[in-house]
Amino acid sequence: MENTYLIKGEGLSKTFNTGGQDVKVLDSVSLEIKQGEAVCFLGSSGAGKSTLLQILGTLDHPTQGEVYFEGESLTQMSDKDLARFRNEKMGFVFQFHHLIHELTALENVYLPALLADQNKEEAIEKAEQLLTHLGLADRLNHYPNQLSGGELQRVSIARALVRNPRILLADEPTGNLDSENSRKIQELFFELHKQLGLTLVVVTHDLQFAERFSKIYRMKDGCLTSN
Amino acid sequence: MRLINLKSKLSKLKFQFWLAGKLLFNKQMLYGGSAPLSFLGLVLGVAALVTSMSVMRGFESSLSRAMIDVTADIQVVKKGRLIEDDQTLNEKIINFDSRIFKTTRFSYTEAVAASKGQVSGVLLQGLDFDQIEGVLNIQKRLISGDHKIGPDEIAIGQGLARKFNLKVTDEIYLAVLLPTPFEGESFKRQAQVFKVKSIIDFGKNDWNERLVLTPLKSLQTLTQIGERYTGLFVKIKNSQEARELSANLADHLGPQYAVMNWYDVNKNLFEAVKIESVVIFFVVFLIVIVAAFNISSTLYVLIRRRYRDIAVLKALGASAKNIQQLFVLQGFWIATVGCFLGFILGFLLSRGFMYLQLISPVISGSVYKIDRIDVQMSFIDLFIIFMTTLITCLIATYSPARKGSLLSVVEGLRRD
Repeated sequence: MENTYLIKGEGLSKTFNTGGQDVKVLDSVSLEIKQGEAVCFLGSSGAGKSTLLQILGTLDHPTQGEVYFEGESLTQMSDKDLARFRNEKMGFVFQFHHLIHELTALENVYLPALLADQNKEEAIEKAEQLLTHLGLADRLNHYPNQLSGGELQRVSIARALVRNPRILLADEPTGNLDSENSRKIQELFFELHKQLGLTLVVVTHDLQFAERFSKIYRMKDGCLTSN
Repeated sequence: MRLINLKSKLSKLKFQFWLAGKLLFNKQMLYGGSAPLSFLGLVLGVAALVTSMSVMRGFESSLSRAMIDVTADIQVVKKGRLIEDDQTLNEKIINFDSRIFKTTRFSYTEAVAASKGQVSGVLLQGLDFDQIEGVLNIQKRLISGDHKIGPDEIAIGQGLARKFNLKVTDEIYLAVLLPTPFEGESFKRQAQVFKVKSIIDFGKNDWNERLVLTPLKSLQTLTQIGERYTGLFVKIKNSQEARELSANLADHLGPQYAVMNWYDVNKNLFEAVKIESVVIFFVVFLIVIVAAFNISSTLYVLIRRRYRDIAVLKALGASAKNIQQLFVLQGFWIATVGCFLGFILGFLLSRGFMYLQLISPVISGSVYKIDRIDVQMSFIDLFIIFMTTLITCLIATYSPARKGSLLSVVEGLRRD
């Protein structure tokens, strides 16, 4: 049978042990995301949306359940294979840019390509193209502390795209920006989604931003409440 | 295919070195907290190792150079008698082994030196000055005067010159006691005035205070031994082979000859220096070990500060092994830069030690045979210091690197 989904979560649960007590942050969540979809997880703080995104992005392991990517189970993969998988197939954008302070914007962007043993010249060329496309041509050799909040987030988007990922996962990407920069970044996400046919999975609690997605998953107390 | 794999591995290693260096040499590491101090500890440890090894190596080399310069690689003497036939023995030695380069005759006698109201016992040695070139290296050790010593002229050590307050062209009275041929228990005194032609640093303390050189002919005349002489100084192509060659030569010449080499004459001292070098190396190396484990604890702290970056690297596709390699490579960086700076500091300290010796006596000549050490840095010593420091740093960084590699991505991303 042909797989119609790009990524699928099946019965995903996550329990944390805090102070000797088990706290369930995800409770038997199942969902499918198709190639090219723009999906959003909406919910209040502590609803479990970031945990779900991290599990789908293989950054965390579920206590129960399985994650599949094009029919292949990711939960059983070794650390090395998962690292390679993330590098090749996934791009991440976080609420805080999480750029490495000692590297310039350009170096931060081509870092994932070098982690994948890609030719350095090609990686630099690709990173320059992306940064130029995102309006940062004059910021290539600036360090993170020399960039504004919006610029930092654009650099982190360029970093997420440098390996031509199949899916872009973003955790509150505008949560740390002022309204002007937030609007610009939102525009950028949909522009990239349109131009590159990129599958978007975004966590937000911004209703206006969420309304622009083709599919919205609402979350409450670790469960998907509506689709 | 293999070449492509190798190229890819090299390029990956290059990238990891670059990233490890970038993450290590940041403002926090260079200017903040305990990191620079623990790094300084490593630099000081390496510098202490370099200095102590250079001093030990310099001691060994100063002593061996003095021995080879003044008494050649090998000495051959006839047991209990003077040698009469020059050419037969000389040819026997020269033709014995192609590694034997040249020989020169010598003779010596105990004498009494008197000058300016002072008297001292000396060892008067006669040399064939026309033949010493290539065998002895007296010329190099000249402090003042001329190395060409003519009849009734002498070269004295700097210690004797100081003792008698002698300068070049000054005169000194030398007396020897000669047995009278027909009265077994009586001696006659033979004395002569000699002119000081040169003052020499013989390299060894006792030589500087006692050794007096004069042409062989002058000594033969003074001691009335005719054409006879004590022995031959033998120069070989590689001084390090002197022990082996002298043993072979002793077998070849037979029991009536005693064959000595520069090493065996001071064997006890050379052996002691070797053992001391090893002991000092390990004692001083403890500083490096302590410093390396200081660095280890600093790295633990740095890794905690890098928690977020580790998580980001993992999210971007770095495996736990990559992270571990990254921090182990930081150990490599620390060892390499630490050694480089330690070598420079060690070199400066060694120079300082040399300078200190010029100002005031640092080592006792009567105890150590030499009163000045020409500190010598050896490539092998530096290589051993580098390798042991590197291995220690790699071991010390392994544990924090492993801890860093096992950090959870989610936990790391929460830190900000």
